[in-house]
Amino acid sequence: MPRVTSGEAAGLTQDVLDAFRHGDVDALAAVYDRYHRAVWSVSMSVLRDRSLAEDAAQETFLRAWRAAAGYDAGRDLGPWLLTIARRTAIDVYRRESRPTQGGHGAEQDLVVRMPGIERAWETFEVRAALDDLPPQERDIVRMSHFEELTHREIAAALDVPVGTVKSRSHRAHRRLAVRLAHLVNGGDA
Amino acid sequence: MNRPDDWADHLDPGVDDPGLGAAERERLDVVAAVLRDDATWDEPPAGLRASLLAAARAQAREGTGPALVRPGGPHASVTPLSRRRATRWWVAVSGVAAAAALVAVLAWPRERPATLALSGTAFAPAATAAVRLEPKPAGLAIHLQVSGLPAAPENAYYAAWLRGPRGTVPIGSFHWREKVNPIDLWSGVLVEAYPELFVTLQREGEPTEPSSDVVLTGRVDAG
Repeated sequence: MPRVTSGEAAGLTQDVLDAFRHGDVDALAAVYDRYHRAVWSVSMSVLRDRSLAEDAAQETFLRAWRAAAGYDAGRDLGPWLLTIARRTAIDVYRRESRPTQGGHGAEQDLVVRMPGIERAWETFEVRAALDDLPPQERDIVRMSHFEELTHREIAAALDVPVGTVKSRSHRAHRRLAVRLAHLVNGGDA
Repeated sequence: MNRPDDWADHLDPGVDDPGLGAAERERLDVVAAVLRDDATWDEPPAGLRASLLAAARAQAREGTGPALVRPGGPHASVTPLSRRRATRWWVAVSGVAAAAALVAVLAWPRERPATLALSGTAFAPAATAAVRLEPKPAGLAIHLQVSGLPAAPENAYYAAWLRGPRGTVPIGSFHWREKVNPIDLWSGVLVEAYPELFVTLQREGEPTEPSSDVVLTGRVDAG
């Protein structure tokens, strides 16, 4: 009996991609289901505001849907969508920006504050990789990095032995390392 | 040297650094920085999907969305996914629906829709499903909102079942390759008598009995 692997969850079928390119709303829903967290993280990394990120994420998918006829179905959808997500978030930021009291325009702030395409791609890919982790392992990664807890503190919080945390943590980080090897090896997007 | 293990050790804050080269260290540190960023962990609002699809449908109605492109020229036709799914769905469940119609009884309960949650198993630990049970004159419509479930592998499919003291009843099958909710199932038996709802991964060509590969499971709370 075949086993279900997380890798199999990553792709969208050719049927869906073709339908997406042809403007089908159900296909847009499938693309959203696959990429919404990664797009959200990119929007948040640019805007740092949930309300603005909500505008940006929705507009990202609508722009992608409207422009999908020009998308090359032979290429990975992720990088194409990321480019739209980052561009859209910057557009939302510009729309919301006001000139600063220092007298210089919002454009100058953008140069300083906007993450580059490389960092946006890293955010997009890391979030997608996290989404592919089993929840127990994802929780440990979150507690380790975001909450900065030690293995012992995580074990206490989850009420499991420290050894269990160590083995889950290694499995989780190994999965991430394999999934993100193209970032570590310096591969292109 | 096993690179993924070394990379994992470098990424894991609770493990001693394995002593990687400067270039690898630098790139892994970028990944670690992304893992510490709150934007990476922030969750989109639950209503965003519905809002997006409503906006897309409105644009499609108003003609401001993309026109349905017809590959192969003006005389070729594109069948929207929903219609393609509906066709496949009809073929897949017509037997079940016909059987359900036969066993429909006048006394079928017409209470309000009920809900329950299915959780994933070791075969699909990330999978969950919200289930809506909707009594109809001819049986019970069962709508699944699935998330975290991988698509069924080639030559395999998912089958949904109700189980109770009297046995197990199939309520439909799906492959989840297009990842579009809801999945509509149908039962001709009462959930009071068959309170356990579960989903198995099946291989084509094998007997149509539940396999041991259960991916989602839950029970109807009669209370």
